This record gives sequence, C-alpha cells and structure tokens, in this order.
Amino acid sequence: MALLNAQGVTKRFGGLLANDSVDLAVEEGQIVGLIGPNGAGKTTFFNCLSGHLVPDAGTIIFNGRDITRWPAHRVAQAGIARTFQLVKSMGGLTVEENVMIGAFARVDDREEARRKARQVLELVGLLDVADMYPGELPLAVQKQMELARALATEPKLLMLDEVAAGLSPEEIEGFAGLLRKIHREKGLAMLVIEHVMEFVLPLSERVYVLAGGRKIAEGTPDEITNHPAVIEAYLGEGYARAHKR
Amino acid sequence: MDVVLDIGISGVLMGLVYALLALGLTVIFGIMDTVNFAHGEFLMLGMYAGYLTYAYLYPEPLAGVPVAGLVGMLLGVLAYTLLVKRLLSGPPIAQIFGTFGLMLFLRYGALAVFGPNLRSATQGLVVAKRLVVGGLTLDAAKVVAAAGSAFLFGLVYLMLRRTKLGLALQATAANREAARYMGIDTDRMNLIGWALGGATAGMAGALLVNFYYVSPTVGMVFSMITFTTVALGGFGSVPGALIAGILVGLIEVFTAQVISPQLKLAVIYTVFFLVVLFRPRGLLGAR
Repeated sequence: MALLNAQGVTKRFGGLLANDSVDLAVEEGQIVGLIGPNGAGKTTFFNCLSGHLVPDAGTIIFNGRDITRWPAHRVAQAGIARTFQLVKSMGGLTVEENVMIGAFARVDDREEARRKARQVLELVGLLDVADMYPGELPLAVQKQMELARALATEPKLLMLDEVAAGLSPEEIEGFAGLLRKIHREKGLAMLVIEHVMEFVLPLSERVYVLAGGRKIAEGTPDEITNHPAVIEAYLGEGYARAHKR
Repeated sequence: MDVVLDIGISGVLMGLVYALLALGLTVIFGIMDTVNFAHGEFLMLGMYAGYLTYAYLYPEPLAGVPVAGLVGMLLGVLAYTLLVKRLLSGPPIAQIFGTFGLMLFLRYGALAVFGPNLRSATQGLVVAKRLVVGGLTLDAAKVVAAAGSAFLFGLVYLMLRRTKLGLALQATAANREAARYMGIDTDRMNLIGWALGGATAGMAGALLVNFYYVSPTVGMVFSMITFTTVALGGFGSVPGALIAGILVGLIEVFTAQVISPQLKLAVIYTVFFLVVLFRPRGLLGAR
C-alpha cells in the first residue's frame, strides 16, 4: 500500500475549481514530482495534503490513516513535513533554534532537540551558521535551513514547494545534489512541486502533471516529456522560459 | 543626592510591577497580534481576588498572590475560549471591539458586584512597613511587590527561552503557519498565552494590594500605563517590556517630584505619544 494515497481531492474557492478530483500516490522512499503551469492548483493541492486547507471532497490516506480533515499540526506529527515557496523562517530565533522547533515535534528534552538539530544541520551543511539568524543569510541558505527544519521533524514524507524558485542555476544544482544525498541516506519519500523542469525531472521517479486543477498526465519523467497533452499545456512554455534565464 | 536616589529606587520598584503587567500584554500580542484591552481589568480582578482572600480567608495580603494568579489564569482562559477565539475569524477590528467590550463588562460588572468603595489592606507582613537598607528607607510593600514581579518576570523569561513550550510560543509568535507545520498546535499556544497573561496580571494585582487601594475602576490607570510600557518597549518584545517598565516607573516618580504629582500620567502619555510618533515599533520592537 502506498505511503500517501490521495483520491478525488477537490477544492473549490467560490466559483473557481482549484482542484478537480485529483488522484496522487507516493510510495515509501519514492521521489514524486508534481508539475504544472501557474494556477494549475499545485499549491492548493499541497495545502490540502498538509492540513492547511480541508478539501471539499476526496480522501487523503497517509501511512494507513485517513488524515483528510486533520489540522496542520497533527499532519506534521503524523510524519508529513513541508517547505514553502516563500521561505517562512522564524525571525528572532537562530538557525539552530529554528531547527530545534522542528526536532521538538519528536522529543521533549531541550538538549536532545539541540543534538538532533545539529545532526540535521550537519547533514545539510549548515553547522557553520547554526548561531546566526535566518534574516542574515542568503536565500539559498534560508531554504536549506527550512529543509533542515522539516527534516528535524523526522518525516516519512517530505513535501517541497518550489525549492528552486529564486535560486541561481548553480544553487539549484547544489540543492538537487543535497536532496539526492538525503534521499540516499534516509530513504525518505519526497513530493516535489516545481516549475524548473531541469531540476524536477531528473530527480523524480514518477511525475504528475496538473493543469487547470485537473491531473492531465502521470508517468515516468520520459513519458511525461513526450506526452502530447503535457507538451501542449506546459512544457513548451516551461522549457522556453527555463532556457531564457 | 539622597533624594534623587530615593526617588530613583522608588521608580524602579514600581517599574518592575509595570514590567510584569506589560509582559502579559506583550506576550499575547506577540503570539497572536491581539491587543487585550481588558488587561487592566484582569489586574483589577486579581486585586479583588487578593483583597477578598485577605479580608475573608487569611489576614495576610501576600496569601492572596497565588489565589489571584489562579483567578487571573482562569480569566485569561475563559476570555480566550469564550470570546477571543470566536473573534479571530472576524475582521481585526472585531478583536479590538471584543476586548474593549470585555474591559467595560469586567469594570462595570465589578462595580455592580463590589460597589464603588475603595478598599485597602490595613495589616500584613509588609503593609505600611519601612525597610532600612544601608541608610535608605524603603517602603517594604513596594520592595516586596517589585521583588515578586521581578521573580515572576524572570520565571516567564526563562520559560520562554529555555523550555520546549517557550520555544513553541516563540515560534508561533515568529511565524504561526510555519509553527503549525512543525507540529505545534497554535490554537493551544494562543490559550497558553492568555492563561499566562491573566495569571501574571492577577498576581501583579495581588502584590499591589499591600500598598494600593482596590476599586472597580483601578484597571483604567494601570491599563494606560501598561499600554504605554508595551508601546515604548516594542509590541511583542519581552526584554523591551522590562526596560520600558523601569523607564515608565522612573518617569512617573521624577515627574511627580520635579513637576507635580497631578501631571505624572500626562508626562507618561506624552512619552507614549512621542514614541508612537518617532519610533512606532518601540525601543526593542521587531515590527
């Protein structure tokens, strides 16, 4: 049975059908990409999965439990962690303290949380800036901190919302390498929302494509790049834009 | 010179009580951006809790401090669950009117229940006692109120900096949405913030009973001083509350001494006005 199984997820905002009966599954240890043009409903879908929004219809089964109507903090405790398109750091707290907040999802003792935070910071290569404040750091580093904070909650599924947005091609390359390393070491399942094709396609084992709130295709990265509906809805435009940068 | 020292000490002593009062208000604001206009009324009910314990249960005002803490905490919890929580889904102005209404309700409810008479404690360990320390004569009741306030302030500060709950509260204040995705129940953090705000205001009230009269409208004066303190220190800033509390205490006593006692609040409000005008985020405020 899949680790995450979303069936018929539907979310309406007034007259806008942001998600129209979307199905998606993530197996244990699998990296799944979720792509689609702007306004396709990717972030809405993410918000439904992570408990920020309650879908109007559909079910979300995670790790054998129906989490469809759970609030975000319970979803996090159940083992889904996420990062944000726009970094949400906790100002006034150091990088280490930010990551400790994540670790506190699993442990109560402060020293244990600190130890775990430092382990994760070492994994993502941020031990050097542990005592700095997120606001003092460049965007790429803040995104790594967010990744560390999410990892510190010991998730079974890590959801990444447009990690590549705002990063330079070199930084994107570095981030992809980091995610591969984490995947190799932890065997963690990941669901990656992304615009930047060069980033998400090589990383993913399976890719889902949303457009206009519906799933229009799913398959391996190769199948997706050659899928006529995808090329029409997204790739032509997406590739052109990605190459212009 | 001795006079200046005397006045300075007296200002710092009152300032520590103001700091404790400001602490609750600033913590609630930091966590959920809500201004509790009824904070002074929490203090007033804490004073009554302390006074009534003294008058009917045990003839020592200090015995009322823990009682007032519990009453204040309960008030905070009830105010949040019955009122503020429901206002959160409305526009921000609803919170202003909501807690303003709560202030009126508690103030005039107390007037209806307790009557308009001023009451005060006439006996007790530190009531109307002098404390002579190295040539300085201090009001023992103020020293105890200041020491109690400083102790409670330190306790809350340590809790915020050193415990899991404290970090969860800070995380909620810094970024509510991110905190939620880290598994923090932010609704519960709101509730804890109100419980903390109520308990500290209540205990500050009971500490004041040793030297301050108790009346249903006493919250009015303290509210204004507390708002000034929080604005001066920076909304949401805990160290700011301490520094600003002491500053306000000093401004108050020196104005009373140098200019006129009648004008002490006027000068405090002038400071408030200037802070809002020139440094809206306060001395240590983040926003």
